[in-house]
Amino acid sequence: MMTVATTVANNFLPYARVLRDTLRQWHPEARLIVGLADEPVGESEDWEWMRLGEMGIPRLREFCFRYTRREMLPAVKPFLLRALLERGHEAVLFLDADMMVLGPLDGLWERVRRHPLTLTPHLLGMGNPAAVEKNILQCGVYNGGCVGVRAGAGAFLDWWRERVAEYCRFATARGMHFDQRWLDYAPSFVEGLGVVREPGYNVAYWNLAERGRRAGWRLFHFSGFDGVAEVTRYWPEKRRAEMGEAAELYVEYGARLRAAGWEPGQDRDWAFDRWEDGVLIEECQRQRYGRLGRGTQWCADPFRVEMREWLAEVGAEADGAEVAMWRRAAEERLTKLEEANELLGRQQVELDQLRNALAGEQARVDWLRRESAMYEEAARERLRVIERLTEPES
Amino acid sequence: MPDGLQEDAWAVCTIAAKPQLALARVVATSFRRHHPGVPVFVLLADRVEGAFDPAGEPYRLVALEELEAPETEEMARRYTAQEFSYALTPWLLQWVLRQGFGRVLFIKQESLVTASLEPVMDRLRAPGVSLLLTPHLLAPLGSVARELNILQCGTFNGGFVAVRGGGEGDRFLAWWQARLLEDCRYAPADGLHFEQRWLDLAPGLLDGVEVVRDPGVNVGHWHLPERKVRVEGETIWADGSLCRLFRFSGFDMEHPEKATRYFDRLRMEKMGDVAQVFRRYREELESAGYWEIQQGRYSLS
Repeated sequence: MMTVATTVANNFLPYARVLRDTLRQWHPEARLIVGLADEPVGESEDWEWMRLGEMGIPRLREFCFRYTRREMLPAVKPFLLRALLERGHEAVLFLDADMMVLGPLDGLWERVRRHPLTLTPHLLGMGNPAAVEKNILQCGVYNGGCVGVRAGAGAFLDWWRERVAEYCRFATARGMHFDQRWLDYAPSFVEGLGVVREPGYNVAYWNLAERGRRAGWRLFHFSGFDGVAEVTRYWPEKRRAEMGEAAELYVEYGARLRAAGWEPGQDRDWAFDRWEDGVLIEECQRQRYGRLGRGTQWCADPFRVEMREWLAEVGAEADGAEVAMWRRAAEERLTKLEEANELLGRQQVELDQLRNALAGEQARVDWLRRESAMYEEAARERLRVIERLTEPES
Repeated sequence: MPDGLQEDAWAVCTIAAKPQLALARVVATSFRRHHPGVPVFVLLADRVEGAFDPAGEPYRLVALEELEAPETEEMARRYTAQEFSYALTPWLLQWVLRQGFGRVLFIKQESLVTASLEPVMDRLRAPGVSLLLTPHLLAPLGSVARELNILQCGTFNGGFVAVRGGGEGDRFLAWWQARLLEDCRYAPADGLHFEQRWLDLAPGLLDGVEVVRDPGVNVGHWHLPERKVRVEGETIWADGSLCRLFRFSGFDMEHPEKATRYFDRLRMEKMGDVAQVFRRYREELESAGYWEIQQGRYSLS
């Protein structure tokens, strides 16, 4: 039987409902398990819940404080998958909640059951623009929205969850992109990795051009669709009109989300939004906390007001180191640009010199042409005179 | 196809500029020790300008002009010596295939071949396999900083790339060339690391990428001292596997106490048997004329 898992915070419940409905449409037998990165809100749902406390996340309060909601959702993933394997599931297919099943997933599930780890690369062909590929190099080669595991993936999951416990950041310049860049190590660490190269799975805005017609799509990923951006918050200028057959699908998805309880501008509270006294936690406070690493371990519950005061006190120093790093990077880049500009300047001078030399040569050639025409004319004149003089007198 | 060559034949190649000629010689001589019948090509990413006699070298020298790729002239102007040398990799691989070899292996210049690579190249004869890559790591290091660093450099090492000609292999080389025309740059924050990071995309972009997960192939500083190296006479073992290719990325003859100039983590006195391998490499470089030839000046800057 197919086992599918996903993760949500409460604001993602409508997404998970659409995933559930479209999954059931094609696979009524499928079992759906939803990991909750939030506190339960009491709405009953037609799936099995896995609560935060049931996934084996060590130092849970610290984990919840360290991350924003966007970071925590993927950080929960390897913990959920590992816990499910430990509970005896033979194989599990993880799907991001913002996906819609458009056709049978049997082929994908077959892969998941055969390989210890199954991944879908963002790109499958060599016809994409370099700019798209460079972006993917920063985000990770494999998409974290579709991950299959089975017995045998344990060691990889152990490592992956250890990394994302603290390093599930959106910091591409440092080699991190949530949980996803860590997956680039999959071909290194996993013997028998399953790389799904069938074009119908995990179709999304970044790979539409290479995924053929809608009839062949089985799993569509509405990554970054938040109801504000037309297509994705990761690429706000992207317009639906540019998306061919997918444009309609976005309209349909929006309608389904609304029917499943989504409202424009909705963003429910998250259980880990606030300090214990009700003040909102700033993202920069979470980042400071992350940067201070082991230094924060004096406090098992970072949501306490003492932590806020302590972060304000010692955090500036930690920020300073980070700022210095960015300044160095910016200065290096500036130096390189200056060097490049200097080189361009030198080349311009050379080019001008060459142009001058060329103009001189051209003038010489023109002069020679004029001279030669003159001599030619003179020679012809002389020839005419000779001919006249040597003409036999009639 | 030239006379006497068969589609099954293979060749090895590397790239060097004049200051690294001794390194190329060591690749060639150490390779020939274990593969007397396999041709060795060295692309000179530079001009000879009378600095040495190509006919006297232990390999067949390939001049830039032989590539018949006018775009490389622009690249020589655009890139530093190091970038240019790395960027030429897919052009050289393609050139060797065009000489009539069915398979080709590229080895980066700072390498010592320590046993036969024939069994590895045999993997390219399996149906559907068109590209062999070696990962930097076969298991986690336990160090987040080092793992993040490798993510920024690329998970596959560009020092060993083997391609089978025809079909996917050729298409891959054409794609890699298109990328390296302008983006063979060191810019980790932008997701680039010379020619190497592009290789991370390969398992998605084409069928038939085989990941060589053999601890004896492409041993280098990135997984030392975690990968256990043992020396028994002429034979080197790495995590219990026969070591066939040892790499010396960033090794500086002026500072032989360090494994690489890139960082201070690995110092010879703490490296056990690895130090013997480095000593052997130093001796090979010296007998290949390292101290004389490294005076050579790069002519394309």
